[in-house]
Amino acid sequence: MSELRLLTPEIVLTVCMLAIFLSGLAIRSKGLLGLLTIAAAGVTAYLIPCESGTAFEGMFVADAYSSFFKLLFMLTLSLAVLLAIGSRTIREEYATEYYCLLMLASVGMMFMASANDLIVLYIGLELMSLSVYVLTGFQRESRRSNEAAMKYLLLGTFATAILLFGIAMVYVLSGSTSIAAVALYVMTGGNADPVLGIALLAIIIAFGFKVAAVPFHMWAPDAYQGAPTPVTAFMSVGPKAAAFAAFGRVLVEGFGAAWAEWSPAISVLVILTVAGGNLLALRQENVKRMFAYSSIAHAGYMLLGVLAGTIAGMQAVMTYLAIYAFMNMGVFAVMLMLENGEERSAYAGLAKRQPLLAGAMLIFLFSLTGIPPAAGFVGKLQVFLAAVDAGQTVLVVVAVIFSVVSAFYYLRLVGTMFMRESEGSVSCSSSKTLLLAVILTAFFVLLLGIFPSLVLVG
Amino acid sequence: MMFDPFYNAAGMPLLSLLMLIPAAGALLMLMPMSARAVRVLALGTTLLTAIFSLPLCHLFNEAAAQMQFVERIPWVAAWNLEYSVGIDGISLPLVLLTVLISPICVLASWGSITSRVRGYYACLLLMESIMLGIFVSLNLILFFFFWEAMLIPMYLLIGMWGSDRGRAAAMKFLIFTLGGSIFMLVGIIALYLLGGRTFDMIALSDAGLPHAAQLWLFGAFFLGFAVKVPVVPFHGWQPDAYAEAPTAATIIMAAVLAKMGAYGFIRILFPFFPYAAWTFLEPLLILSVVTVLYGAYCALAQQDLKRLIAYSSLSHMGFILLGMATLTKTGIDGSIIQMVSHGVITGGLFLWIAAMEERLKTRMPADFGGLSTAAPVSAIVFTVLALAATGFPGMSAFIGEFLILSGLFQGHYVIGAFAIFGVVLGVAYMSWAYYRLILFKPATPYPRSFSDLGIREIVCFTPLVIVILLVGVQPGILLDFMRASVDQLVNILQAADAVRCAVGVVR
Repeated sequence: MSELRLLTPEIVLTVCMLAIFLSGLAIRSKGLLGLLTIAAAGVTAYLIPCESGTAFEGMFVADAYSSFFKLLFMLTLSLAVLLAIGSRTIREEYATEYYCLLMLASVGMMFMASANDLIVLYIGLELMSLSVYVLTGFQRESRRSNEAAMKYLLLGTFATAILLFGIAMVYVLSGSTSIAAVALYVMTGGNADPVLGIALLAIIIAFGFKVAAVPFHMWAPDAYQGAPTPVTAFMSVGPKAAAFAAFGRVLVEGFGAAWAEWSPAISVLVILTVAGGNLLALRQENVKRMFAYSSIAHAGYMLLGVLAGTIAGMQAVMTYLAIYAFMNMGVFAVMLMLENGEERSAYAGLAKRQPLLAGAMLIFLFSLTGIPPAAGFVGKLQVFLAAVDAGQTVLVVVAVIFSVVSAFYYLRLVGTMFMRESEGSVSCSSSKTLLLAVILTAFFVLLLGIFPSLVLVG
Repeated sequence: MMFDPFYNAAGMPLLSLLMLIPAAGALLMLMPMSARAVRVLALGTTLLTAIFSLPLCHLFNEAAAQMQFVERIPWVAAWNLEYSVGIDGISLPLVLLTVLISPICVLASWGSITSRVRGYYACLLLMESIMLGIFVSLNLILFFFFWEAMLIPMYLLIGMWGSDRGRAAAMKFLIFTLGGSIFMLVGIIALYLLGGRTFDMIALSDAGLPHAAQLWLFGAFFLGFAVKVPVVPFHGWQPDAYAEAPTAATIIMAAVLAKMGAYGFIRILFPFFPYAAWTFLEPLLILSVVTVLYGAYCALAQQDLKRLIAYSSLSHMGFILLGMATLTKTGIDGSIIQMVSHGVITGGLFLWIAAMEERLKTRMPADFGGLSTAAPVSAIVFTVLALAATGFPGMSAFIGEFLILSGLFQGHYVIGAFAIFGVVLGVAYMSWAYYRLILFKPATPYPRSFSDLGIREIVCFTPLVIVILLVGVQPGILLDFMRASVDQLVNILQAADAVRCAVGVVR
């Protein structure tokens, strides 16, 4: 029974989800339900156990690593709900389903962070993915949204099948699906087996899909663009963070001793992702699509931390994800506040019309570029520090060169906001919750940039 | 007490205060207020900063080589990072230059900036904070923090209040600078890992890095600083940015931002990597002299006054680098004097051009002429500035260039000869401009509304002219501040040279 204590957050969130599902029958207000969901996320975050330990014969683990990610997931969930309350794309009558799916996805993500067994990991991943597929197609009337969901579903299923394939091979080799047993197997000379290489490749490809690393990113731009913007904000942060959590657990903890075997593959992923994401983002006229590519590029920087294969490297990834959550959510919040926020023209002359909004967007964009005092700089610095420490200087140089490329497309948007006159009148949402989300995220981006100790994991 | 590294003669966080005053002023700009109130507030803030810098000169201990007015506060424990600031004889002149130039920048844009006044002055004040931050940082991350943060207000200043082509110029400026400094970031990270996991500049300056590491770290930091100076071939952004930016931004770029790059050479590049400095001595000298000649040569061909001064500024920055790259005391002394002198002179020249442009709406020399009779005060100011720019004896630039050339002739005769040719070219384009603007008959008569310099403008030029003449006649006031710190730097360099020669003999 005491083992169940470690699962408190997962259990509480699931129960809350069911409660909100039922109360949706009586409560019709999107705002109230949203507040309830945020309250549930808050309670869950509060109940994340401080102790560490394993449950169910070591299949489930609660430690500082998983707790950090769970906290991050609750944050993402709350912000995604805030965005949904203020957004018109999520219709009042479907609010219950929307919130429940978000929570369900979050439960899956929490299991991924805590999985100490490849099967648990897989189940968590599927729970998350299935919820997010539905969320992507949430605008049922929109062809775009449907197409995006279908594409995401097909490619995503393909990816999880490959993951299963990899897990099966690992099981054949090591006789277990437990990550601890795999680690033991690899350490005692299992890394010489060529079949292990294939298994590793399958796992890396599957997670590459989930974090949208080039060349497995094909689904991302369409899914991000087609999904309702609050969902895009959620899935560009939450599922990505969960995939990184699992990535780190499997590769660094499980296959840590086989670093020499998997690091070349990750190196290739890093170069392709950083280069591909940034170069493709340069050509995008649609702002939402541009941020889809930008989020691909950021996955590339985070992969650098995974590549380091060290604890410091994973800590850097965690810091990066936390900062990235604020800045990316902030961007999407601003996008939601503007009518036609996906179009570049909506931003022309924003500084004159909405100085506050333009100022916040300025902070987010400089943060994404990695220019201090915005927090993005801290994330990049820590990832690069860990990677250079692990001897990956050349890759870091490649990454920094492409981060200069990224300055170009981020700052072009700054230029549009501050140095162009507005074309016609673009109305701006008066939603207080969206404004709250914008101000909160901007505040945290600045705060974490100036006082990085608040978020540095170490 | 004297050699306590935490010694702070002010007894209070004077340097932080210096940075905070303009930042606080910028924050106040968030409140709605009239344009006039904004201007007064900005002027008051910059003047207050200047007043607070006076105790620095007064309490500064000229005999001490180490950092003074030091403040240290733990910042990020995980990285062993401190917020640490302090100044020595090399940074003090530049801090003073910054607080002198800032109020002039505010005055220079008094009448010319009429749209989004609050944002403009907020950016200007933030720039002052950041520039001071760069000159007082004792920590590489803090240094880099300010170095990069500077891009945000500068980008906005050039793009929002510059000319029609300001947007493109701003982007060019930003991409160039970022492209250089991002390599510096990799260098900082590598330095942190090699130098015993610290970002502290004092600890790193005698870390005794392995020679191979010094060579490529030198390269990484060089890219960051060279773009900012700029050194040919990293100067692509400079003429556009100088020409398209609003006057105050141009003055800041020419007078202070360029110095940040040169300051990086003296503060970081040479003391951290002395071995590499000696190894790259010849290439560095050649690059500098190419900058001198290329800048001067291009200046000869310019039709736009702002571009002419931009290229002449490039040429003069080459001189500053030339002096440092000799790695001699005379040369480095000359460079620092030239840094202050060039800041004041170029700032003055851009200010003068802006004053004329406000009246005639043109910067083409062909549209000017005969200012000696049409606007005698303006002509006198230009005469002083032009003479100073060409290095006329009795003016500050003469002292700087003379010391630089003396340093150069301690062994580098050929490069010295080329550098002197650069001075000659400088006289050529300046006298051409002088002839066209002041003496030549105007092609079209000036409009009736044309007037001589007003009180506000004369107030701007007065301190600049005073500094030019004062340093020219009495260079000791600057040299005394610098002596101990430059001696220390030269000692580090000579020790490294001795080791290098000894290794060479053994081989």
